[in-house]
Amino acid sequence: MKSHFLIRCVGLSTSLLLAGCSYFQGGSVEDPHENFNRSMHAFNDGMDNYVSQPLVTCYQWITPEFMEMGVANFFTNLKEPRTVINDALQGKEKAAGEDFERFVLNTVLGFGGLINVASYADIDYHEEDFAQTLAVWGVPRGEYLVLPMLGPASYRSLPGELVDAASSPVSYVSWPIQLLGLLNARNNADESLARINEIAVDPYLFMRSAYWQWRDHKIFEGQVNPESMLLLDMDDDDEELEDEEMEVGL
Amino acid sequence: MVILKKISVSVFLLMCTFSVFATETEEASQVVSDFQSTLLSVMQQGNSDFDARFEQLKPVVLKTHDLAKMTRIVISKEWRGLAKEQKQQLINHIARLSIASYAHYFKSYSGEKFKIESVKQLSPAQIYVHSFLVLPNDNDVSMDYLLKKKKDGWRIINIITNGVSDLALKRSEYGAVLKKSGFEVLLAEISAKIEKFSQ
Repeated sequence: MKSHFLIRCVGLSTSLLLAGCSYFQGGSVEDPHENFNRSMHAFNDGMDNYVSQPLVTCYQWITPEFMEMGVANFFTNLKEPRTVINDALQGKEKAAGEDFERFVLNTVLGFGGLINVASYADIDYHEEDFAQTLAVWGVPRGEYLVLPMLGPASYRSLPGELVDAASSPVSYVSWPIQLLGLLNARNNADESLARINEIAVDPYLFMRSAYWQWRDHKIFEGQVNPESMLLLDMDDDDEELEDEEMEVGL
Repeated sequence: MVILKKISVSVFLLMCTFSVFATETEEASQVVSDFQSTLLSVMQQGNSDFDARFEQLKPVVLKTHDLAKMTRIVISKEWRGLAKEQKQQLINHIARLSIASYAHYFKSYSGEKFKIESVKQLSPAQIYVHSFLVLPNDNDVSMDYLLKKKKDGWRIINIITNGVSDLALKRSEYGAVLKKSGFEVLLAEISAKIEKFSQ
């Protein structure tokens, strides 16, 4: 019997979230669910410190580097069908063709995706999900949410998480492979999470800001609109700083 | 004849404007290029001593970044409520943090290089430089810079890495910490980060 572990996880996470949101209200206009989100952030952080991080440390310790790479390639390859479907839904014919080609090449010649053969053929890697498709279709992003176990999300990404889990082949394999997939995902995020801990003064606010910016970056295919970076309120500040003659004094 | 004269004057003025913009974009691009060359040089030397890397980067970061302006933008609305000494302390702390983070992350070299892709004048006083950090065995990292014109030239006021703005990240955090926990807590948090980078 095929397991639906990942779909169940996402479903459970969403149910917990909806139940939680109705209990915890309060927050700013910018983040109306901040109280709930901060609780979930703390919960996820604790789970990460006491469960995920030790498991990943063991995983890194027992797995040779080439195997880690093979596992990472395998699960990246399993994301390709999801990417192809979302390429098509967003009308990206060229990308859909390339991603399908990547999937076939890696699956057939790369021993089920363990070796990234497509990278030698210079076929670009893209990553698309259903939340990005909804964004392209014009669905507003809604408010920020932190999902239990899954981390940052938004109203728009909730149906996306469910559709992505349902369209991912990983959801239909046996639970040990799904567990390996979770370990691999956490292992891939290891460096980024360590960096957040190094840089962030308030990790919750840092994650929220980084999440919105990162999602926009993916939705716009890495094309930063320079005008969106223009700081309109700067000219007034100039006078204030110059009046006070403030400079760095190291 | 009069119309012809007006057209030639307009064309001349337009050319002058383009020429000014071209010079300004070249100057701004040079600031980014100088900064990136120093980063590469520090990486290539691979000095394991944090303090040495910090001292090497300090003059270039101070010369190419407008850290007082960056601090003002990061602290946002809370800035006006601070005393002059507090403002100065924050500027110094954020300057130290910026240099320390460069010294921490750019410490070894394995074939990386920088490539400036395009330069765009957004307003008379702001220029956007789009560049990449080219990694030998990985995807290129997009590293864009927003520069602001000062009396003595162009200075970097924001770095956008793979679409994530450093200024926006700090702005979302620092003002909130200042408002919620106070000035001393924010300074202590920044000092702790600097200490961590130095280890």
